[in-house]
Amino acid sequence: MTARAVLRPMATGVLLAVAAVLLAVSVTVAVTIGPADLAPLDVWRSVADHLGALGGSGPAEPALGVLRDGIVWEIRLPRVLTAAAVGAGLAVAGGVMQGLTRNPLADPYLLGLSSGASLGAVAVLVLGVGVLLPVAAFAGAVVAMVAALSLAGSLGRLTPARTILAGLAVAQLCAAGTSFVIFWSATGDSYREILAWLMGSLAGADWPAVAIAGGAVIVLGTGLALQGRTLDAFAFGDTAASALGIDVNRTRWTMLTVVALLTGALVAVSGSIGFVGLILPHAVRLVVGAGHRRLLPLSALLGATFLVWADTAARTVFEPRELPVGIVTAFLGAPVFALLLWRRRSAAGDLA
Amino acid sequence: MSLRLEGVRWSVAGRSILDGVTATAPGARLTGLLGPNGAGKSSLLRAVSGVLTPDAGVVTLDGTDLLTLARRERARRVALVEQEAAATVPLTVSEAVLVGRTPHASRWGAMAAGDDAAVAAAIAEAGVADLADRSLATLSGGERQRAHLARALAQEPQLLLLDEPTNHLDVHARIELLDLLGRLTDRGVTVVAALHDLNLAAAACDHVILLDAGRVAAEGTVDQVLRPEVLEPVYRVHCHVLTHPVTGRPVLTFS
Repeated sequence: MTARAVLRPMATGVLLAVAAVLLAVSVTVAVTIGPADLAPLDVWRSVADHLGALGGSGPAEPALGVLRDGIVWEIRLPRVLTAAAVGAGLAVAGGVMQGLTRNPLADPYLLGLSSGASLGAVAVLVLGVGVLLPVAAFAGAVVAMVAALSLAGSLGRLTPARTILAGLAVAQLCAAGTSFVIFWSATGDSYREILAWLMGSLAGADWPAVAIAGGAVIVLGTGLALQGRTLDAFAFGDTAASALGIDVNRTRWTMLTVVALLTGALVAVSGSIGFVGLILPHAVRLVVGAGHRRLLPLSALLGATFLVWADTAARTVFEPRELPVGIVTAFLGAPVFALLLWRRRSAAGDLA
Repeated sequence: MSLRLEGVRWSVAGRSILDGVTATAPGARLTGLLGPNGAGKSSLLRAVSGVLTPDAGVVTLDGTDLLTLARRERARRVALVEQEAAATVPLTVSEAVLVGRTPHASRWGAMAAGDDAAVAAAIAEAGVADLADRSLATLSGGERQRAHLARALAQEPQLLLLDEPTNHLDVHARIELLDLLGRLTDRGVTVVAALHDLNLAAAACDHVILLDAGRVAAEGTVDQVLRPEVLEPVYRVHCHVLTHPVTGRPVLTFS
């Protein structure tokens, strides 16, 4: 019996509940992992302390002691939560992009977003442009999105092919700009910093990063995840969607813009982490089918869990050195995906 | 619920596709939309379903102007089953049929009260109950056609438009489809089907509209339209009309 046959009849609610518990456990356990040993209970005790303190009733002295409490609350928890938010957001954005363009190769960076963000980041890291890195990266992503959508829109109706090709043009241009800046002015130190950013890293994640990525996911990601029925209609083609009463052009504009803003916010805090947005929705599709009403929320929860573990591996496997998490996502994810493809080889043909 | 078209025009890149189409599809009847390739059959169905907006003309259903109706309102009255509708959609049949509820769904996609009942009714009526959990991509041509029809029925349309619904169907599947269309007209749905097979039209349609180069060449009952002197200039073939020994309907042969 195939995985799909087993999982189909299971209620979407049950699947979501299981995935949510898995994410909560993963976050807790991931915080305990690292050079300083902590127990899962310590994590919750610290969280309770701080949430109590926010309410004005917390003890002055943390129950864990200042040092261990600091490790949980100031270092590991923000990083793990940022990983969860970025993973959830990328997976939803990727699933929406694939549905919206009916293209299995679409990912959140389709509109040249990562290349635009990279150009913004490199401008700060190498040229010393005097703004904060996340601001520059977000600005780069938004400029790339506006350029790609304007180009695609100026060609006529916003068809999948036009969207993809316009994004490609913008991505190539920004990538060339990034390469030029690196080639011309980067020195040894800044080079490693740039490389880490280009491959995606959560090393600098703090509470503001949690707020940016988490806020974007909660507001924009939830809005997108609720559009499952519309995306299902898009699966039948633009004509069918239009005959179902959907304003195809306006809906595609709106959703592409929301995906781009979400992705821009994520890239701003983490760099362009690859793989999650492209492969994770496919992996979830292979297990639960392509209906977007269960695909999008499940992708969010599993994407969050996946990136939490990928980042935990990135910071611990070669301790004290860190790998860019983008390398880990591909190393961990590619074999898992290959296995899924192989086990569901009959279904792989109808992914597109 | 009759469909009335008056002077419908549509051109693309300066080429006229629909050149002033005036015709009527009577309510609760099966109307065949005939004509050679490129006559404008598909474009006319798209104009009625709101997929394209005509440059001029009026389209009314039971007196309601379909062209000025809001998209969702129109999609609650008019459903379209496309020709060779996308084969690779990886949804299950029941997920696909739920998509037909889109024009009835709330903005944020919450399940509406009538959704489950409408989906179940559409699945039963189109005869795809035992396929409900299968992926569309694994179905045969006839099964897939019925699944797409079930999706259209879930829209609870007053007017059902079909573009070449019998393409790729074997004889058995064709007869099944025609029986189903007959049951739909019996319960009051107006059906308009673009057809290539003139004998199928002769056997099944209550009314036919013959298009040629974007204009109505003839309109009326089967006996009025499916005659050699009407068909020969449009299709540029020689044509003989026999009478079916059992049904008394016309049977056409071509040379």
